[in-house]
Amino acid sequence: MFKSVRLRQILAVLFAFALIASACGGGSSDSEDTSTAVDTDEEPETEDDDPPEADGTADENADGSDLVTEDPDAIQSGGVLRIGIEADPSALNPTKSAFAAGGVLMGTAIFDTLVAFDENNQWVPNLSESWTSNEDFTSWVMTLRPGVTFSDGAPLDADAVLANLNAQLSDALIGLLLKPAFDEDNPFEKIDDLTVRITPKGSNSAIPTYFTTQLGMMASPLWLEASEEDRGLDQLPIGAGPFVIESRVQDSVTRIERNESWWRTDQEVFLDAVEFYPNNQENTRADQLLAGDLEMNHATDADSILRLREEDGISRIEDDSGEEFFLIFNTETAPFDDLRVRQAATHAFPRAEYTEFIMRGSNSPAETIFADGLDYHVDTIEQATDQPELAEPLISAYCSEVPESCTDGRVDIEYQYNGPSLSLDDIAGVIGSAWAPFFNITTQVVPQDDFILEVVLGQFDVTTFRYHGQIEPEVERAFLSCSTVGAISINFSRYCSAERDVLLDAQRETTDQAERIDLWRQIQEDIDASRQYLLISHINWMVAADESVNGICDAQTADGVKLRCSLNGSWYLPQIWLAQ
Amino acid sequence: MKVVAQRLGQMILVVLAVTFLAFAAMNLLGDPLFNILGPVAAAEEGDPNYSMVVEARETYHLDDPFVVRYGRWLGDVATGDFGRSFKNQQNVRTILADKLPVTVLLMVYAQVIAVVISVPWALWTASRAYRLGDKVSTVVSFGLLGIPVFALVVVLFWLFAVRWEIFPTRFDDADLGSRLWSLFLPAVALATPLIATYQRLLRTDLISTLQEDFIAVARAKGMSRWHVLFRHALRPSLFSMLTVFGIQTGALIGGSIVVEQYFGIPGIGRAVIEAIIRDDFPLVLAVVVVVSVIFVLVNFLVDLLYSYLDPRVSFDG
Amino acid sequence: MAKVPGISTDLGSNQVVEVPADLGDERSVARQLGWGFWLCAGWLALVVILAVLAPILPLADPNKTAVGGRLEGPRSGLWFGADSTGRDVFSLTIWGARISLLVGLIAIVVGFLVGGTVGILAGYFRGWFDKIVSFIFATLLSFPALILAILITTLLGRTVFWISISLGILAIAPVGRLARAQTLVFAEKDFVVAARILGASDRRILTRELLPNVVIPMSALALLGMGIAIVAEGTLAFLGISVADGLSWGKQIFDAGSRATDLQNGPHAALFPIGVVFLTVLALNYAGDRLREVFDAKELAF
Repeated sequence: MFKSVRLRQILAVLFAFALIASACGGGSSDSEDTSTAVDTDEEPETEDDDPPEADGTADENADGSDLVTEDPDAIQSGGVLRIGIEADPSALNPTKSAFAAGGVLMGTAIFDTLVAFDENNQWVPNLSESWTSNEDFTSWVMTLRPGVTFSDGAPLDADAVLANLNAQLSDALIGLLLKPAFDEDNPFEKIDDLTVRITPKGSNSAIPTYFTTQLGMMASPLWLEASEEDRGLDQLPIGAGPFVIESRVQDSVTRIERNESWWRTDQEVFLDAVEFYPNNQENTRADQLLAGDLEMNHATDADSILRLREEDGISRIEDDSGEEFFLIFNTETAPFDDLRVRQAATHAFPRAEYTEFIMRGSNSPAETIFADGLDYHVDTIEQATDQPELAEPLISAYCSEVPESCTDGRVDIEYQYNGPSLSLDDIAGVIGSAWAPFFNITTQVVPQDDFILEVVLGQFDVTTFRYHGQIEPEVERAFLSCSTVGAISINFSRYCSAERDVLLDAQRETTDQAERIDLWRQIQEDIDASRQYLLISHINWMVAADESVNGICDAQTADGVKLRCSLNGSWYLPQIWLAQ
Repeated sequence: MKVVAQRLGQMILVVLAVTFLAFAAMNLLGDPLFNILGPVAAAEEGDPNYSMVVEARETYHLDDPFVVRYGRWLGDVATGDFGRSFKNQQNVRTILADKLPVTVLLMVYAQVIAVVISVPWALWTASRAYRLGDKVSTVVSFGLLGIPVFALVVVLFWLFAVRWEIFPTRFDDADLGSRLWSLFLPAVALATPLIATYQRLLRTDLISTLQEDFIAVARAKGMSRWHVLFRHALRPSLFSMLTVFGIQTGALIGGSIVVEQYFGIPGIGRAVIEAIIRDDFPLVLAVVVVVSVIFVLVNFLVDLLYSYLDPRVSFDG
Repeated sequence: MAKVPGISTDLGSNQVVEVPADLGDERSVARQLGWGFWLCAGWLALVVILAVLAPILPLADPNKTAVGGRLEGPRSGLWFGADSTGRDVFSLTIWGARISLLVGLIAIVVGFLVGGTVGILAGYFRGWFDKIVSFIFATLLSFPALILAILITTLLGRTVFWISISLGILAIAPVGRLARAQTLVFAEKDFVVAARILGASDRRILTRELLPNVVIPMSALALLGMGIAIVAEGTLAFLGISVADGLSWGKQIFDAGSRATDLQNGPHAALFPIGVVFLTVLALNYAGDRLREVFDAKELAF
């Protein structure tokens, strides 16, 4: 296999981007759902085993002023906010580095994004001023705000945007990711100093949503150029956001300080500085938050979520509208190229045990890629799990037909996951225990980088994965269509169906919501019938803060549009203030 | 002095051999070209990307024989240039400068704790050799040796951080005080086997020293027991302990990987594990160089200390 | 019994060379070892028997989840309780012993076979061979042991066999260095000198005189070495880089002991295997030390 750090980096960017972009939703959707459960109660939860609903309401108590500032006079300036993040990005160059939740959080503070999602999951211009398209969405024009400068003084103009977008495009695998959405030949053109024309491939009504996360983070062109020469600069980025980087020791602490020359005059940056402390041990981060060593933290693991829910004086935002957790079967190679084997694995999946030992009420089980409460959710789909008796005949039929893939009447498989990770170990244990009567399982724990590489290159039988689950599903297309199956596949499961591709193209070209919902229902039914995935749970992203942190959900654009409070473990920082 | 120079020469040879071994091992682990170029590295003649392969081969001198590449890398290291990490192109020297101080602090801390506890303990047990206190001490000392560091960290963490909440769960880098406070449990975990080792060695040596004539003379002069122990018996009894002190520096490096990983301390141990898993060989090699230099130097200093401790031992002996 | 610190020409450590006493009266050896030794031996025998018999003992499948409740405490039939996924901690501990003991055993055999042979040859023949061997030993000892182990296992693969080999490689230098030092001492002894004068071949002297006098006392150190190898395997497993698909004490302790909430709600899942590792390593150390004392071999400097 390839032993390549560069490839891994690129793939990690691609993967992280996909993760993030996919979960952002919005666009032309009419959704009114916030899909976010906000919780600032001071009394303990009454029902701990009550998973947050995707259509959860903003449940705030009168005294829970932490998330939304009700009295502007109470706001205090100053202080340092310390945030625990699950992983440190390898570098902070948005045209090159992998941004997962922690990277997006830092990147948003340093760069800001061209487009953002408002609280109704509609895309709104943020760093940019406006977006217009022609009638059939085959051409988009983005207008920039005059007078915006990067913290090194360079203007944020059309040239700067082109420098960024072209750098993304020319990066070997980000380019590959953009391929389904953009024409390879000059999709970005300068019209004048503040206007850029963006030409999608075919008709695409959701183009601005591509620029809500990493691809929308604009870096100073001077710095981009300098960082080509000195890759060490990738650690010390320069953007036009509310904060500037002050110091960074990788995997230890990154400190950003208020950008005194931020272009926004309507919004004061209240905090003096923010410090990010990466720690992949989720429990430790929760400990630190409770011990007062951190003021904020994000978490997806059951342990942290359950613990933090029980704590008084911790304000929490829970959101399970984003990613899903699921098993991917490699449908290209034996044994999972055979539908019966995928079917049997699904039947043997121990949903009840999984709920008891792994989820424990921290999140909700998933049957399909959209969480309950989202427009595109289909509630008629039910995977036939917990029926091992149905797996038996399928396995014996398969093994009599393909004896070379079986030993002792059981199918030989390799179960892969990224690690070391305690929670994924537990998950592998529970699933492996239930599968043991039907499968001879070889477990492979692969470091994160290799893991992504092997999944993309198809070097796996079955693997657990965290991904999928968007509100605006357009970005899903790349991960479900035949066009991305190849030696390097972004369609990880490598399942290809021509009928599904027709549906995927159709949903991109229309803005009629009812039609799109129906198309996506058909697509989900097709996914379910293919058994390419085994959907396990909707990831619940919790953002937690201690009592001193206020105004987490106060973020607005320069045009006064209230922004969505948090997205997949990332949120906005300039409007946050600390009570001292 | 001639012997000292000879020893220095040998030290350098050993460090060279260690680095050669590491360089060879890392080169077997993966094609460096893939680490530099990614999938493009597979491009063959005629492929549009082939020029990149040629260019990279030239820039990094990959077509040179292995030994030549090793020599070049060594030359760079000699001038303090450890290259750049494959992971993020960061200068390896910067990474070392960031992470090494914490690890060194942790190791020195552990050694200090070990010496401060083991020396008085050994004196006490030697002074009452084969009596009850000594016998109990032997059992305790064996017990301490029986706890692997990886088990000890769990027990210490459980008792002092989870149950009794005395020590913080996280490394606190604010100032030296908070650093020492938050590194206390990790350092104790590292020090525990050392305490037992030192105590046992020192006790044995003390007991035999105490049987020597000059001790009897000192006692006969009416000096107090503790005075004799400290002023007369301790110094000539430190040999075995010192020898092991040097050797244990190597074990400490291994132990610090475990405690850094478990307690989330951003030191070189954690970095090197990750670097090995990622085949990030500039970083791995740099750590190997630094660690083996430290190890060899410490043992060299231990040798020098011998002649200080006992004038009868001279370097030319 | 004055100890003279030998300033050896080697780097890394200065082996204190000491003349082993002749083997004592055979009959008194058992008594000399003392009741502590036999207690330890008993514990070790128990662990070994349970580990060997694990497949036929009426134990729950160690991989089977939901045998008990989440972090359920010890009860009859579930002697060590259950872990966070409801697996039987007792069964896990017994099965973990299999890999830990096997790796420890193979590692120490490799270390003694290779290190012992090379060390004796170097000490006997001296000259350039000795110089090279001593240099290699010094190099191996200067290499951070854990990093070396990780490098070798990354290179060779994370199977029981290769993990054992790489830990065995770590044992070569300390064992070899000791064997060499002991050989140096014995090569000067009257009976060896006499044998040589009488025209005995090198091979005969090596096998008849040196092997029994150097290797047999050293094998008293095997138990100590095994303890060290078991801890080393546990450390690798704890770091997640030991036998890829296996049960091992280090992995079990890491799994159960890395989450503060699990330690709070069910410390038994970590403390039972910790107790067993502790007692086993303790027993190996104590029994090994008794053997060493009785046979008066020198300590190993790992």
